[in-house]
Amino acid sequence: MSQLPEKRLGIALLCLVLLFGSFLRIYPSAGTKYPGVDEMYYRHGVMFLVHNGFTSYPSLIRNYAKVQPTLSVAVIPPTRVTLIAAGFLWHQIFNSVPVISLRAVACSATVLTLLISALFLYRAAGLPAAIAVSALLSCAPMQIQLAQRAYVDGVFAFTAILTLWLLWENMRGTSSLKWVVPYGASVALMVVTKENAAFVFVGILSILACNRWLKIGKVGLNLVIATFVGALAGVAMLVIASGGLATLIQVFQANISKTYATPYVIQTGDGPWFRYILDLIAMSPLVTLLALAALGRLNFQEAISRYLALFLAVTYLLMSNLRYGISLRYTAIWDLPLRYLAFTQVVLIAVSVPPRYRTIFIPVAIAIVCTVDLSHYYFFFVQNGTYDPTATEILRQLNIVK
Amino acid sequence: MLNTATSSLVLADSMSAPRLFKPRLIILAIILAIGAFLRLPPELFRADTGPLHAIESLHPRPDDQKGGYDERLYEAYAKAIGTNGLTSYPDIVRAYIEKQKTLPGSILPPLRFLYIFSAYLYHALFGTPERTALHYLSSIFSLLTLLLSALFVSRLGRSGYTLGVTALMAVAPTQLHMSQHGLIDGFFTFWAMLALWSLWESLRSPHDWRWLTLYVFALCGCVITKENAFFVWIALIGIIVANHWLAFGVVTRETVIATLLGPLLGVAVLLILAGGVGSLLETYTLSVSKNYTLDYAIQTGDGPWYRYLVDLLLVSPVVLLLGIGAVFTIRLEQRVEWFFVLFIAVSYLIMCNIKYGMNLRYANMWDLPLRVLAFSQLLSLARLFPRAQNWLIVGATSVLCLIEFHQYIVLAVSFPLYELATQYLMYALKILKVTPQLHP
Repeated sequence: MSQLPEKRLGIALLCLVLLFGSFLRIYPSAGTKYPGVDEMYYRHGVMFLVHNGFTSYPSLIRNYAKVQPTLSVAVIPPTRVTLIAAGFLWHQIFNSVPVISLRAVACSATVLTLLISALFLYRAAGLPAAIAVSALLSCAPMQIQLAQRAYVDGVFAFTAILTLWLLWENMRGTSSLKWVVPYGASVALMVVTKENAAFVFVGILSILACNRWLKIGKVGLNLVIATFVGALAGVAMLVIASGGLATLIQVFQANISKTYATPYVIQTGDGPWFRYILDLIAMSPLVTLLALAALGRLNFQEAISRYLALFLAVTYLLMSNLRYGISLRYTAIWDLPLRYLAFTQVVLIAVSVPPRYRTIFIPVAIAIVCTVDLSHYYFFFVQNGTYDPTATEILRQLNIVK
Repeated sequence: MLNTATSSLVLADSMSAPRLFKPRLIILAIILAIGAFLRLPPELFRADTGPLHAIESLHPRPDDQKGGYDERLYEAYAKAIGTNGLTSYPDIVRAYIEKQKTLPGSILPPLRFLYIFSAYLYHALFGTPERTALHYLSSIFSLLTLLLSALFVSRLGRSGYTLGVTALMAVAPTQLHMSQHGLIDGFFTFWAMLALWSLWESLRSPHDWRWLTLYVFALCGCVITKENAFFVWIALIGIIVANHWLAFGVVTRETVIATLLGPLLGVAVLLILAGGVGSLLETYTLSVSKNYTLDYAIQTGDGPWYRYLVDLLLVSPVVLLLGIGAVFTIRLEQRVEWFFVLFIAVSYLIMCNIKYGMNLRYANMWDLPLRVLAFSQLLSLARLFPRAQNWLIVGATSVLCLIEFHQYIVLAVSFPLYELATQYLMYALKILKVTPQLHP
């Protein structure tokens, strides 16, 4: 009898958490307002489309393919179609200036990330987990920062989490068209959003391959086909947007070759395999420590834990071995897995807490972790106005490096 | 005492005399030999005078050969004892006070007596120059810490721990680094670990006065070696208090008295050396207050509470991650793990709150506790695969040792690392691309 009001109360609490998280993303809190380098390139893409029409997208990419080889450094390629196209659409609908349009898109994407994460966890791990992890995700410093800026990483994180959720639903339920088609579409969307889709794609393939041993759910032929068809559809869209396969290859070749000669990338994207752990500890110490402890158990009872841990491990393995390609912004796709694992660790610790304090322990622990994360967001991005949270930059702000 | 300890070691591992030569002991001997070789001072391999020059290529020579400011001060203090005699120590302390008053920043005080006096003694006995004597001392005491670690761990009554933890200690980057330079922290670690071990033994054998004597001696040694003895002392008190709930052993009145007596003896020695309470207090007051204005300390000793985690991650990433895993999965009945966790946690709590006073060198005393925890976690993980458990443990420990040794090579052999400041570590690991220009 008391189950229903309790559930209603839980859903109301979840809604409050999501409202709070959305507010943190929408409220313009970033310390630095001026456009950053990445934002200027995306802005240029939107402006180009505004002046020449959306059908001129191939010209935008062709121009990049012509100009990039002549430049001494790598610049943002316009193959990140989702952000530029969505920015253009936002501009057309609301008539806001390109940078604001792009920022609005990034902000909307991070709000959507929060919402789908809550839905994902509600369906996969239950209401309490959804509330706790949504609270943690609401206060995630990088998520809030990505909502304040016209970065592609917040948008990409949305597509990656959407793909992860839809893959989960397909593996756990009957893989009907209702779930398979959106899944394939989300894979395609991910591909046209950012090159980092390759890491997520390998992560997905690893999940499909290891399902036999990890017993996450069912992997049918239609799911495997949807994975590859989605990726191919994404590539096809990129080919169309580029006006041909040759141009697309030219764009990526030019971009990659120049990346290794870009001083900023060399200065900020290098380091050993544990560089991401270092960056994550500096940004979100408690979440990272709890998640590391959870990962260290290697003994996950719930399928969702195995699912997210495998995704995290495989993508980490790839991303940490990319020469000059390490950036904390790319870890936005791990914000949900890390926070879910951190939550499982809090629950595990709660077991050893005396029973009379157990009920209060988890909310208090989650509240502390949220407060620390929020204070870090305030410190790094509001007080110090960080634009790109490189390891040197954040350790300098923490006074570890002076 | 050594005889007693050795026989206890044999008993703890259930080894009878005829079985002494079983493979485990041979492997332990090989590990210790490797650890000892890596700790040999670089002077022994020099082309002109080094007796071990023929095998120089086998020894990972640290890239930094210049040494640091601290070494020169220790050398000067040791020389002063040689020139004026031990009885003139109060004059050395007074001279320090006078000099310190005029300086804008802090310099190390001569009350780090044991290290300085040991260097002088080594010099007097073997005629080795004071600076070289400091290097030899660091090397010897790092080796002693390794032996002590093996002994301590073998007495924990855990099968396999002796080999595993000793192997990890043998190649621990910060241990190796301390053995190659005239820094006090490796020397201090030995005394801290001796105090920790003797406390463990005293708790397990509460009425054995020999362990209590060793405990008092070790605590006294800590106090007359370095001011950081305070952190160790508080951590030991934390363990004694926690014994009420965690039951490591029995805390007797004698244990409490010994915990107070050791440091008191140390303070008494320092009082005599300083020539009175006034000089002693003035020395520490000056040293601490001037540290807040020392540019080098401000540049390198600052940061948030997790600064030590960042530093430890840069040096021993896998050991730290395993250690964190162990801390979070610890169960109430895991007394050994609790003992080491408490030592790290209590000292960490104080050490991370010292303004401008954070340095990875001070964390050298966590090397053994952290490795016990890491190995414990490794065993827990291996238990998930019962069929291949033993091979997994051997394989994982070997890989871990290789990673640790590789870290040492990257940080101290391929890069001229001397001071363990975060900037230098990050630069050596190519995370930071601009050369740090910091000098004490």
